[in-house]
Amino acid sequence: MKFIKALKDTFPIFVSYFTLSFSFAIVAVKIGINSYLVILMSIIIYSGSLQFLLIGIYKKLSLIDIFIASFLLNFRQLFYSLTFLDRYKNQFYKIFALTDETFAILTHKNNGRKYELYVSVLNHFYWLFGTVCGVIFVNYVDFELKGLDFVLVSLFVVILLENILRKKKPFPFLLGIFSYFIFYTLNVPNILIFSILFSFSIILARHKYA
Amino acid sequence: MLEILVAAFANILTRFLPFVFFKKHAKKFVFLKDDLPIALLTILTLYVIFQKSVDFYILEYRLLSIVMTIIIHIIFRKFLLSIFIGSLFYIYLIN
Repeated sequence: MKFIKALKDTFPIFVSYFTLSFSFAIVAVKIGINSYLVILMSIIIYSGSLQFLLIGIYKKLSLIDIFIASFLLNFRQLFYSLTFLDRYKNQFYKIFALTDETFAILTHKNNGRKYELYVSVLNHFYWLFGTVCGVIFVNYVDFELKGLDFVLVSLFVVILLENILRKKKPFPFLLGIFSYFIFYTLNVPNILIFSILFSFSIILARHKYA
Repeated sequence: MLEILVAAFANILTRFLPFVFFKKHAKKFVFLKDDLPIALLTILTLYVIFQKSVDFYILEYRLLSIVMTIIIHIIFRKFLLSIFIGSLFYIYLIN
């Protein structure tokens, strides 16, 4: 019964995870990442924003830069885990599978351990399933359409816009623009890392002295 | 391959760190929760838009399509619809 309930509750997530990971797989394979690696990413990373970031920086950054960018990008997950500290003691898979959406469902529904596990596994499965379908689709349906790379751009634009509309805070947005264009005009080779670390330290300093 | 493992490790770290040793100190970092993701997303978005290899006319099409995507998203607030229409518009412009 708990399983049926989990199925029902996760249906909206099925729709969004499937479409998102499906498009992720298509763009990733088109950009030249091996199909098996694309599937592996959805198993061991299992984070939409991070996987799209990896497509954007593929073969452009050093390992240390990738580490810093990934860690800071998903820093927010630290707070999800923190909220679940007592609830998730020693349940490693559930901790690993605590994505934004899983967190969202489980914070307002407390139906016991089994239910938590079902929701976690189902969501992970939807993500993987969409990826596999996308990989199969792009390998068998051979299409070459100029301009498909824009999907990635529009995806980032929409995610950013949605965040701004929801949080209504202009400061971090302006800070991001400012830090990016400083290093863009300075023509440094590693714009991404420099601007990320720069805005990180400004946020820290602002918090400390304001 | 290595890149993926490194990213996976960093990601797992963010999910497990509180269970290992962040318990006491984590409250000090709560203020990062709102500002950091938006600043980072802004940087990443600009990064994918203004890649140095992009030609000027392509940049022009991109900016037009981005405006289109933003307008559609503000009106309908539907992720996939905005991405779909924005991308179609761009594909139409570039072909």
